[in-house]
This record gives sequence, structure tokens and C-alpha cells, in this order.
Amino acid sequence: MKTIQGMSIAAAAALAAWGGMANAQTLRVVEVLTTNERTGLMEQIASEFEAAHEGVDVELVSVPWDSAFEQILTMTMSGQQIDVLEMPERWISTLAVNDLLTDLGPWLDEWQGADQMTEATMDFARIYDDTAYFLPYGYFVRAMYYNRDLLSQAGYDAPPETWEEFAEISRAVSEIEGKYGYCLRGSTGGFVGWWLAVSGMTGAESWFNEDGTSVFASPEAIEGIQMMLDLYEDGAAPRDSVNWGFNEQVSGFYSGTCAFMDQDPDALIQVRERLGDDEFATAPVPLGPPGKISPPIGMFGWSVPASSENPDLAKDFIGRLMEPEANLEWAKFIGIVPAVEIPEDDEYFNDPVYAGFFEELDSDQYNLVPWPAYLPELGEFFDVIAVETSQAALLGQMSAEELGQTWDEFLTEAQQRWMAENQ
Amino acid sequence: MATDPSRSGRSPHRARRMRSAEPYFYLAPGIAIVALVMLVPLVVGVSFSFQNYVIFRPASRGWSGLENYVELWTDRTFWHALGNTVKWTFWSVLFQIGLGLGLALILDKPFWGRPVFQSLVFLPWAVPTFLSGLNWQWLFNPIVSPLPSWLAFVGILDAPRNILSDPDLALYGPITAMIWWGVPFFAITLLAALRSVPSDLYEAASIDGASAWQSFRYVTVPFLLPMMTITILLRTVWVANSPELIFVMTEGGPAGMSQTLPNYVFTSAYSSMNFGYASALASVLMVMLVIYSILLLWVRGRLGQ
Repeated sequence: MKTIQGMSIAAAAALAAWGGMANAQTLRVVEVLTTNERTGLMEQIASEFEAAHEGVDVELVSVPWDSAFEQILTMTMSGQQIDVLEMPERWISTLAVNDLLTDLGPWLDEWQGADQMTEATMDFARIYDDTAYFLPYGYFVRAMYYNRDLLSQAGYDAPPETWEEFAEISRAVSEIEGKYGYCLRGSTGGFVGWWLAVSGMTGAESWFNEDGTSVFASPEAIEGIQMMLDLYEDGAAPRDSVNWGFNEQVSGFYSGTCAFMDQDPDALIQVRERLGDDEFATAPVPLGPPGKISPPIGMFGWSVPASSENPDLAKDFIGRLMEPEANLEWAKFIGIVPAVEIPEDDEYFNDPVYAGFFEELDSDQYNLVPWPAYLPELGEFFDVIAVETSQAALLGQMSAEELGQTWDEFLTEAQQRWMAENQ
Repeated sequence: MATDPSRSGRSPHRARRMRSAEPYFYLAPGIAIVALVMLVPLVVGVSFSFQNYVIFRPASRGWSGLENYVELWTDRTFWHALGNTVKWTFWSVLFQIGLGLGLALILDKPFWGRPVFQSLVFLPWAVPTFLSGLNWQWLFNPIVSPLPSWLAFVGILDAPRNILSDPDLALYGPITAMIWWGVPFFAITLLAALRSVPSDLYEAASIDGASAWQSFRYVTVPFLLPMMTITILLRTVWVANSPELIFVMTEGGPAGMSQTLPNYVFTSAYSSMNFGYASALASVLMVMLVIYSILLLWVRGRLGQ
């Protein structure tokens, strides 16, 4: 078994050229999220798999996440062999529309392990075009982390339940010298925060109405956007946060600079290293006047690209990765909600620090929605348009109305085009 | 290889032609390889810019003439990125050459501990750009780094805040990192050039009563000039083409205010999935750099006379 750290497209290409000369029974597994703990588990599964399959050599390739999409796109489009590919649901539309993924449907129907998956997992597998292009192994759910010390210094002993309370506490905390209420994320991935505010105010369960128009230009949505802009304007979020990405936001929270952050369970790993379980906790995201909200749910899973040379072996390998014990441990290493049912006696996921996440999963007021991954323009919206325009609004170059309208125009056009193509 | 024309039945004329063509036979394999790995992708890349080529719309791919270039002409982000590219390249190269020359002049004179300083000076060059970008990104972050407080203390900033989050200053973060990273290159090349200046010229100059400034102006500078031109040319092209520091440190933000052309190419290709438009941007950048190179070489030719 070989482990290779992919460093660049050139390296990946060179690797492929060399790998192409390997024997026919090489199973190339490409990972895009790598942690040291996870690699250990992966290597163990791979060597067990090699032992069980005579003459099969599992080759692990790690592609760094920051440039993963570009590299995977380049590799799959040029037909380089990848048998098992780890990916988020966002990539499916781009890859599937170019016929770069295989349909796992027939295999899923026969697969023994399907019984142990949660119902959501079997549904989400067919998230794009009603075809099983991948099998999710876990979920990112967004909850509100809060710093207990900062809240009590500001005179509050419980996390906010509504956006109104959230804004009030945020402003109170920012009265303390050098402290702020909200760790706002203005850069890549920041759209989640804006969506929470919009969904909180509108109660919308989707980005779109029945007719394909988006919800972002409605007066309630603009109100949600304005609420965020006001928080920033009033200094309830750090001034620098306009450019914060994941790392800055998380370090802003664990350093005690700001009291709230909306984050997935994967941030727990970094936060727990620096804050004790008594210093912070997670709560469900606040609710708005409608009394219901739709936090986003993101997911990662396994797929078999069209360039696979051993698709049947690849499916076996995915089946092995998705066995309940392996999946639970896997989920712990990444900090996600697992794809299999959680046993009653599992101490890890029943810890109070997970309360915020599981409350959202259990309560009817929280309706978890995946991003509209079927839209090919989603990546452009999420990574470019949403970031640039929301930053412009935070910097006072755009009003809340203009921001909502810009999003509405782009998304409505994308959604209606998709509807026209898929009638 | 000389052949006797009377025996081979070839005319002497032809033999001469063969002889003058001989070097090209030896060069052919090299040229073929360069053509294969450089020219073919270049032509393919430029041809994308005349196509409607959006990755997630494979069906609508086709030739679109100058459409991408027309769109580019009216694209505000393009013009902004173009201005930023000039700013980014100009300040980076200017400071790199100024500081590099200063270091080279200092290191040219023997002093105690020089070998140690020399290796220290060259250190940044050995750091991968991505890594130095991440380092500088944290250095500008007031939560973990003292740098913003120092900048505020000496009056450059009004408060210890992150310049990478300021739309007017964001570009100067990556420029600082670029200068830090690129100074050694100039220091190394100019130091090598300085050491090639014959010392008897300085002696002759001092006998003629030249001041330190005059011997620098009339001996050192003329010797350094050819080397400087070529390093400035190389560095300008590299710096102008280099997206990684900006990509790591600001991602072109906030609100696209620190976007340069190579970054915009990357964004168009991999976030907007519009390979046609990205190729048009890249072609414009390439044409500009080619024109710049020709200009600089022409200037150098004029100076040489």
C-alpha cells in the first residue's frame, strides 16, 4: 500500500502517468479532507481490504483541500484513473453533467449495508438528478457556538433563542473593551451566516419559491440582511471580520475575541483544544418571528468516477468504509454527524457539547436543507458573487436592498434556467 | 562532414546548403520538445479565448469570435484588476530592486560575520510562497500578531487593525510579503554582478580623484546595468504572473479590491467555470507582458550604445 501526498496538478499528472503503468488491480482512492487520525483509520481499512482481496493494491492519494476541486476536475476530465473519490455534494453537478461520475444506484439496491444507514443518507445519495452519484458518509450541520464567560460578563446566563436576543447580547458583549459579540465570517463560506439571517426572518425552507424566483429580495429577507449589516456597523463584530474565513473565525472564537460563531461540528476539534467544555457550548441557531428556520446541511461522501478501472472493487471498498463502526469513528475524526444510526450508548455523540447540533436534528422548528447542489452556478455564487457583494455591503459600498436584489437576480436566473432545462 | 561532390553526384552548391543547415538538425529534437510542451498548449489556450466554453454547459460550447474580448472591455472588475496588477508589480519590483541593491552593496564589502549574514539574507527565497503568504497573513492579524499594534504605534495605522480587511490597503499586504520574499533574488544576482567588476577600475577612478558617489555612478552602475535590466525583466514578468500570495492572503478581497489579473483568471476558470473568459483574460495579460518585454529590451539596446 502506498500513501501519496498530492502537491500540485503537475504532481498529480506525473503520478497518474506513473500509476497508469501499475498492474490492473490497483485501486486508487483519492482523499480531499485529510487529518492525521483519519489517515491512520484509512490505512488500516485499506490494508484489511488488501488482505481480503488477493492481488489488489490500494493506493491512497491525498489532494490538499484548498485546490482540490480544480485538481479533481483536471484529473477526471483528462481521464486519469480514480477509483474511489471523496467529495462534497456541491461537486456532483459539475462532474455529473460532464459524465464523469458513475451511477451507484444498482449497487446500492443490492448492498447489504443499506439497512444501517439513516433514511436521510439514502435520500441524499440521490440528491442530484435523482441518481445515486455518491454515498454520503456524514453531515455538517450549522449551530451557534457561544462563549459562556463572555456572556456572563455581559450579564447573560443563557444563549439567545431569537435573533433579537442575539443582536442584543452581541451588542452588550462588544461593550467590553476589546471584545465583540459575533465572529462574523465575511470571506469564503460566509454565505451561511447570511442565509441563517434571511431564513430566520423569512422562515423560508428553500432559497426558491415554486415559480423559481428566489426569496432574497423579499422585505423580510432584506430585514435579515440589514440586521447583519447593523451588527457589523455598530461594532458588534470585529472590523477585520469582513475578510475572515474558517480559520480566522474559529481562532477569533477560541481566543475569546468574540462570543458567538455559527459553525459546523468540525470546528469543535480546534475549539476543544483551547477551551474547556465548561467555557463554551453550542445552541441551536436563533429563530426569527416565523418561529422556524432552515439551517444548511452539508455533506461529504464517496463516489466512483467514470475513469475508474475497477468499479466493482471500488464499490466494495466504499461498502467497507461505510460499515457502522468505521463510519462512526470516521465521523469523530472529522467532526461530523455520521451517516449511520447513532447507538444509544455512544458516549461521544451523546456529549452535551453536541446538544446544539442534535437539537436541530430532532426539533421540528429546524428544517435542515442542503444547498441547491443541482445548480451548476452554485460554486460561482457561493465562492465569488456572495463573497464579493456581501463584503461590499459590509464596507458600505452597497445597501441591504441592493445586496438582496443582486443575489435574487443571479439565483432566480439560474433556478429558472434549470427548471426550463429539466421540465 | 565534408563530402566530395564529384563522387556523391551532388552539386557543391547543395553541399554548402546542407552544411549551413546542419546546426538545425542538431537543434530539431530540442525545438520539437519545446513546441510540444509550450507552443501547443499555448495555441490551445489562446483558442479557448475565442470560444464560448463554460464547463457546466458542455452543450453550448462553440466558437464565439471576439465575444469574450468584448465582454472583457466592459468588465469593471477587469479594469480594476488591471490597475491592481500594475500597482502590485511596480511596488513589488521597485522595493525588491532597491533593497536588493542595498543588501548587495553591503555584502560586497568584507566585514566580520559576513558569511552568516549572507546566508540569512538568502533565506526568504527558500521559503515556498504559499508558506510565506500564510505567515504574513497571520502577521497582519491583530488577534495573534503584534505587527498591527506596532504599525499603529508608529502612526501608519489609526488603530491596530488588519490591513488585509481594509479595501484601500489590502493589496499592500501581499505586496509586503512579495517584497520580503523577492529581495534575496535581486541581492544574489546583483552581488554576483558586483563581484565581476574588475577592482583596477575602482583603483583607476580613485587615482583620478573620483568621489565614492562618482565611482559608484560611473563604474558600478554601468557594470550592473545589463544584469539589472535582465533581472528586472524577469522579475516583472514573474511578479505580474504570480497569483499565489494574493490568493492565500486576501483571495482578492475584500469585495474584489485586491484582485489582480492572474487571480481573476483563476477565479473565472475555477469558480465561475468560464474557461473561455479566463483564457481571454490570460491572453490579454500575456500580450501585455510580451509588449513590455520587447520595450525593455529595446530600451536596454539603446542604453547599451
